[in-house]
Amino acid sequence: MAQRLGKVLLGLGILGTISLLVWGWGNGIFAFGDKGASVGIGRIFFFFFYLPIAALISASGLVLSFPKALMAARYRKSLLITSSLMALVAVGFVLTNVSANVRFYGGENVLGVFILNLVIVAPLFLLSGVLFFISRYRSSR
Amino acid sequence: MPLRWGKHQFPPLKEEGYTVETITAEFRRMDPFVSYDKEGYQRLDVVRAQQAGIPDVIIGLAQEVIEYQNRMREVARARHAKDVRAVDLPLEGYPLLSEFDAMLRKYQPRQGVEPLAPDTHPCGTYSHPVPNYTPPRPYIGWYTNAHSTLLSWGFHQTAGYACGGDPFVPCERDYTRGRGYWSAYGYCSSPRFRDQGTRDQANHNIWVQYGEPNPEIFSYWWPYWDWGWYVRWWHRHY
Repeated sequence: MAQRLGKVLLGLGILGTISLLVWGWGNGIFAFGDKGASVGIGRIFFFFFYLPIAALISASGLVLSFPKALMAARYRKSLLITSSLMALVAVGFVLTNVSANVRFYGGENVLGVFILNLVIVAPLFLLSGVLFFISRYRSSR
Repeated sequence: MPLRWGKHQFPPLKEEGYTVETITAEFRRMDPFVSYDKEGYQRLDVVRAQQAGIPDVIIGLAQEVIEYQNRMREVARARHAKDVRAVDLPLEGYPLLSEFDAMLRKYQPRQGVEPLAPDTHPCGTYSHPVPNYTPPRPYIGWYTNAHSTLLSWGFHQTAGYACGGDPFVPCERDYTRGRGYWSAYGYCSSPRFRDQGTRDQANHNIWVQYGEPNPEIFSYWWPYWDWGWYVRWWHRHY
């Protein structure tokens, strides 16, 4: 049952990722020479929100579908590093924006801004957590 | 050819069929053609206003309003007056503005608030964007240190993502000063809008674009749930 659910999630995740990559390509997300507010905001949504959601679904699907293969020791270190980097980027993003709110906008609704940023980076945090879980899974059993 | 309000004879606004409402609507159409110099004085781009099809009499009235406001600013500055109510300049020499003022005195605003269409919002929506044009980007002037000058005017370097760069590194030559914005749909509170300052590489010349949705969307609270995506859309179109 879990494996079946995993395969469905994996299929959805891969489909979502491909659709996102196609959309991103068409919207200049990967044209890193392009500047401007529109493309910049689009990149944040893409890399901090949409792509992590698709990756999260794919990663969850992978864990459920191929648990043994993923627990191989050779993945553990790179997964741990990726997970830590993702968490660091997410924390850095939240801190940067909340401190900008305090410095430049007088701390206007700082709690709301903090929650808003948490919502935006939540998929990245969750993905980081899933990768961390995979990297530690074998040693804990 | 710029209009000279002193030399032009315009028929009375009422004879032309104008009311306070229609004049207000025409004034909003003129927003893109009014810019500010570095000391805050207003300038009207008459040629572009004429090209946009705005009637000459309205342009004449707008020129009188701007001239009057600039005089008020000058007098207030000279008297160190902080409250404009302390500056009461006569309307002599401003025939159109005098007539408009008389219309305003008699004008009875409609009781109650006009129900707005459900797809409007003071901060703007896809169907009723605020503003619905690209704000002009006037050249402000030459300064020995443009960066420090912009900071002294209340600007800060824009967050990296809001100019398409690294989200952890502020933009080099793009500056933001948060502000509110009045539109036909109401008031959108600060800092959901911004003035955008830019400078050249040599750090001498400054341009300022007044009033656009603030792209630093992760540093302030959103007026509605999909504001972030709307701001992205707005900056793509204007």
